[in-house]
Amino acid sequence: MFVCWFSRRELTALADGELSARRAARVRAHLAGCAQCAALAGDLEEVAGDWADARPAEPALDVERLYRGVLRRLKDEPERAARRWLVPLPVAGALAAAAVVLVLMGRTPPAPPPAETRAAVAEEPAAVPAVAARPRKQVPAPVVARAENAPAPVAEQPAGAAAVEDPLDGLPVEVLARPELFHHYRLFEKLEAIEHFESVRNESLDGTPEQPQG
Amino acid sequence: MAGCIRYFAFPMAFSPDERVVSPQEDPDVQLMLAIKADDQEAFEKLFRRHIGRVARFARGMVRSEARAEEIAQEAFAHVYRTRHSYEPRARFLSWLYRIVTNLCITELRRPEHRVRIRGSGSEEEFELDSLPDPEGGDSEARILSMERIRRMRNAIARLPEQQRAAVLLAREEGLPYTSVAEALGVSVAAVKSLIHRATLTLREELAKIERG
Repeated sequence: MFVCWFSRRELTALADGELSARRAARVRAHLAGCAQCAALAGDLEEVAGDWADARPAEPALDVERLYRGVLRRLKDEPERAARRWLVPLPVAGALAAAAVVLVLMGRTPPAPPPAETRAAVAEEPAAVPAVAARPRKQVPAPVVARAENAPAPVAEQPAGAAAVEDPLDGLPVEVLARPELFHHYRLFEKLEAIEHFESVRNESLDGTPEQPQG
Repeated sequence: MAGCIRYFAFPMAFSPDERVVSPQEDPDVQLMLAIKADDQEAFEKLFRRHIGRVARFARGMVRSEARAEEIAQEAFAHVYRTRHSYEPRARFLSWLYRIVTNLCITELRRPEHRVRIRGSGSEEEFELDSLPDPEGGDSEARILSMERIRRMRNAIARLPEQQRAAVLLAREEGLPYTSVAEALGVSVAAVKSLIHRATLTLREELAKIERG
């Protein structure tokens, strides 16, 4: 004897004639003794009957036009296949560019020029007025500049100990005080360094900024 | 044992009666085998034979005449493109409907489609003119019947995509549950459940009309 919950699951299949003869007989036997399931079965049969009325006719199609459209799609297919190969090219280009940036970021920035050279450059701004005239972006020369602000124990570290890098080495006091706010500080330092190299690259060999073309 | 493991690991992909359908059993398979041998005429014949039902099913799914035509064209283009890998493991129509169903579901999930449906305020309403005219009866009964059909079609359009596909394939395209299961890539029990739930939803809709 089928119970109601099991029988009800089969009622739509019964209305659609999709039950095996044996199973259909068992469901009908249940319906004979259960008024609720019999009422539901009646409703579902009615819905299935309505379906026959609601069934739309096959749409009036322009078959010739559609067939020509299919042939056109098939003709275009080799082009599409070729385009499919072309699609990854910009992606590959972007990946290559990203790889170059990563390599640049991974490299340690070149050592700053010796102190005396820098002093000499600082002492003769009048000799190169163009540099002074141009409002150059202030490049902090990050590593060196930060070293001056670093706490005393770190600043006094001997040069020979540079091989063993302290992760806190060269960090400003503000960063050391609130490290949770400056997770990516090192990364930004490197980005600043890259920006610095960009500005250096844009200068001509004699130190004057290159004039814009045209 | 291996079959059991496969069934429980991949119940959707499991097909217990994987078999070869003979051309005598299904004449479309014969055409398809000819297409596989690059017979263009066979392709045209197959196209003319099934384009109407494919377009009707696609229209029921995506609710747009133009998109339905495009999907039907793309489905046949896909049939031709993949002809060399065709193996008659199921009825041809099940395979064809599987392609169309997948294309329709892809279309339904496209953001543009959702925007179109939302932008129009609600789903496309089926006009009374596009519905079959029930014969006989007085005019009041006829209008009531037409209204009932219209409500029913709009309720079908609101069904979840799997239920809608199952119910359209079984009731409108007249596929047996086994073929619906092949077309949707689910078990026959799942098809039974999908159609049952869809029918209960429609029953509720029709009851609303009767309650006024």
